[in-house]
Amino acid sequence: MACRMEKRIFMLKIYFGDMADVIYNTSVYFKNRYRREWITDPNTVKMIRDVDSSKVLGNGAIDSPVLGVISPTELSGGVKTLILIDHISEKVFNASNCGDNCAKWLLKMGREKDITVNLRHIMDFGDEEFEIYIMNTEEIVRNMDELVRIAGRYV
Amino acid sequence: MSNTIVFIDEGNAFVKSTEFASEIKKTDNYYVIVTRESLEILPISVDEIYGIRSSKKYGVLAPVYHEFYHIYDVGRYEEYPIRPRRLIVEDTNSGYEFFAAVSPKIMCETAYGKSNIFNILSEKKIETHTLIVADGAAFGSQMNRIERFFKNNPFLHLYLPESFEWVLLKAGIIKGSKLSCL
Repeated sequence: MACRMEKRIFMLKIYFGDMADVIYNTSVYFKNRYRREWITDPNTVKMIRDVDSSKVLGNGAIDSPVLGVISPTELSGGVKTLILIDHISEKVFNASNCGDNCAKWLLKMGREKDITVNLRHIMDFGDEEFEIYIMNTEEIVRNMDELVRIAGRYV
Repeated sequence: MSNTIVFIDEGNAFVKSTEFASEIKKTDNYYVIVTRESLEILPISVDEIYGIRSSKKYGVLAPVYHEFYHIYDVGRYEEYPIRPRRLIVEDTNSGYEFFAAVSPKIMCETAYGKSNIFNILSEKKIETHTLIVADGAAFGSQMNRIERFFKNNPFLHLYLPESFEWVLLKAGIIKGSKLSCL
């Protein structure tokens, strides 16, 4: 019997505006819940390098050009939120703690797995085409113009 | 607490609450609120929204120098004079009546409030030169959701004087010894 393998389409899903049961203060949540092994995960190392311009020295030490050697809890709010989104899929996090420099990482994660985030502002996902599922209206948007017209109603 | 500068870092959901807005309006403190959310309930000036960027690094031990910069210039330089065919005014009363009267050959309409400007812009693409007039002193909460329309559409122009009263006082038609201090 022939079995046709369907390619699974992953998606970044965003709920704009106030959302129940979201983790709002991601820095506090990260401080209490992060695991040391997350920090040396290759994807996390790349995120920290890109977003914070910092180098992971080990699971408890990061070399920051701003602060010197720091612990993971002293990373930027944006990169801590990205790490949480990447590692805890059953929770929804407030991605408005992330700057626009985190947008490409959200899109990348969304291409590799289903992720759901809450945004309370309009993040700039750039001028390239993308696919984002807007949960408020159950629509897929493919560029910033489409995104702004929907998201602006909720933020 | 009085006559104090209060810093509120991101991660505090209460900054969007009506209770917070109501309480701080009673005080004489200066508030620096770190957030990316639009605080619709607070009358924040477009000139008082800042970003933080790292611009320099001094040596090994000193931290990166963070520079505050005005975040909203809509990313485009206008070429003056602007000759709009259509005016959209935030105001419904005196401001609207004024602009309708001084520009009888230009179609003038009210947006019925600052929040509706986004709705007008998102309904359909504007393809005639249109000037949107709103009070800059309280328009800060709207900028995040409308700036993209202005960046991408050369037909759209934004005029954000401090307020309609400011326009009148700066016009030179009212005389007063303290007007120059404005």
